[in-house]
Amino acid sequence: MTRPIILWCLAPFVFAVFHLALGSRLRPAELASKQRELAEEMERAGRYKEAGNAYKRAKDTAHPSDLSLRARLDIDLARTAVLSGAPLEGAHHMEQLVNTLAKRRSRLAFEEDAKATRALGLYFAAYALRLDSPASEAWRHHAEASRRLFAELHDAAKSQNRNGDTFFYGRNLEATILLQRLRQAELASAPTPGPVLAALENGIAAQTISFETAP
Amino acid sequence: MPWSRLLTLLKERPPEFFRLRSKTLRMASGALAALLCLFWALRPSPAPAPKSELPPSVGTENKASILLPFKNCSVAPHSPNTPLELRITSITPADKGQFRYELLFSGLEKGTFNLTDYIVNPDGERLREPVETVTVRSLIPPTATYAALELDAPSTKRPPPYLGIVISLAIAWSAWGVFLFRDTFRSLQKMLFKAGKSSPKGSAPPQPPAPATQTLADLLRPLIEKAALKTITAEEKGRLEQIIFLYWGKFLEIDYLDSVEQLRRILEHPEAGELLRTVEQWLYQPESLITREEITAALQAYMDLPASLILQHETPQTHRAEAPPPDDSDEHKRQGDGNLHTAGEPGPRKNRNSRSAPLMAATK
Repeated sequence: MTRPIILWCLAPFVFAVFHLALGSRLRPAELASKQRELAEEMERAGRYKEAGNAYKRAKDTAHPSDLSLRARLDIDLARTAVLSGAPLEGAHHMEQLVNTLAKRRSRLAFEEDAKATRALGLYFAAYALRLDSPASEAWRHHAEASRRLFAELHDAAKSQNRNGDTFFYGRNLEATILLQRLRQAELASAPTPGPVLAALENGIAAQTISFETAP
Repeated sequence: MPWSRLLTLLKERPPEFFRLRSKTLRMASGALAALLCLFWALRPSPAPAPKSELPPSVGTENKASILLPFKNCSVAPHSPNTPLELRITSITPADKGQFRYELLFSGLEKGTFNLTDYIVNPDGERLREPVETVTVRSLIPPTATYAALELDAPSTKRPPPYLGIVISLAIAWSAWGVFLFRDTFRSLQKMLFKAGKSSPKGSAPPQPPAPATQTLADLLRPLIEKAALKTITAEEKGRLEQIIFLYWGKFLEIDYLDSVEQLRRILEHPEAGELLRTVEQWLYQPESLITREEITAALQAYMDLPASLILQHETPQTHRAEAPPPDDSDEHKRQGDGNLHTAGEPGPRKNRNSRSAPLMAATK
């Protein structure tokens, strides 16, 4: 009888250790998850700016030491930035995130998502820049970076037999090459994707300058 | 060990024990075995993994290998409209004076291309031969509006509900505690129940324990004095009788009897019934004047008896009104073993007196 009583008395201490080690992150993660679900609904409805704000709130709710969730929300934020007409901002954030992960040597599963988001951001940025200022060669740099990233992601997915991802990255790789090779008139006559239109409305050239001068 | 037991059992049993005795049973087992074999034979074989025979898609890098009669061939210069990017990764000597070229190519457009069109000999001329074609396919459907695909919002994987887990754990821990300390809780509950029962609403507060020097005479004196003055109430009279019953019932070993019989025997007893008879006498002589000496004389027999003799048995006595009605069958059972107890020994029979007072009142 003594042993169960000792175990019963020790149980709260065990729980306290668990709470301090892991549990304290779970409650904020639970709250952040609810906000993230709302943000996803907004994103699916095409309300990218509102979704971005909701993702930001979710990130603020997440526990500061919950790096995994915060990185995930960073990717969500970057994706909404890309879709809402700030592709370079999104790509820049993803570059920073990938560099941070590389420094920490924490090769997490969502590193691929970060790279994909960055590649897509660079693609839309190159597309918009080419439409915005055909004379400028600024877009080539972004298009080439996007192509390299998509090729890398495609090869990784193919080596792991992930057919869906292989197709996705392969198609976007082809789209990037097409962007590089199309003549200006052909590109101008093709239907413009929504994120590119949004980027043009937001003044993509100004964004380019601000990110190129950023430290 | 169960295995060793099984082995021992198998050794002990004759082999006939395991043989199928019934013909029907043998047939049924045979049919079952045949069915199992049939299912095993007809089981769907796992589909072979589809081998990727599709041509490479635009932009992806692929390997190729060709034999050329020249050692120092190189890649033709690229132009912006070149539909195929080519790299030579290694050149190794092969049979018959030929060289094996390991190539990496990447189609920038869909179509079929001759690799040697993009290789030049040491003189800078395109080889064109031998013809080594590769096909590059497009992943963008002709009907697609946009070339690139957008990233979708991933569906959130909900974390475990931490608050719910904490509440569940707290409930489980509390339930475990209740289970572990159930005996303690029960005894505590009994104590609280007893305490609550001993001080019911509207009743008198419990009597303080009698001091060591208090005698039965001290307990009886105020009651006797009131009886002498004829101011005794029915309740006080009941209390007086109760004290007499408690003491004499035990002393005379008649506490196992019912109250009427006890009263009869006490009144018959010369010493035990003296006080009651005296009190009755005083009460039925309205004009009499009772002196203090007479009261002291009546209490003389109780002067040296400690009050604790009866006070220790009094708790249930004071609540006789709440006690359940007597059960005759129990009465007989208890009478049967009543003789086992001595006069001074507190035993289970002591509570029998709880019914004495009302019954006495009834006899009067």
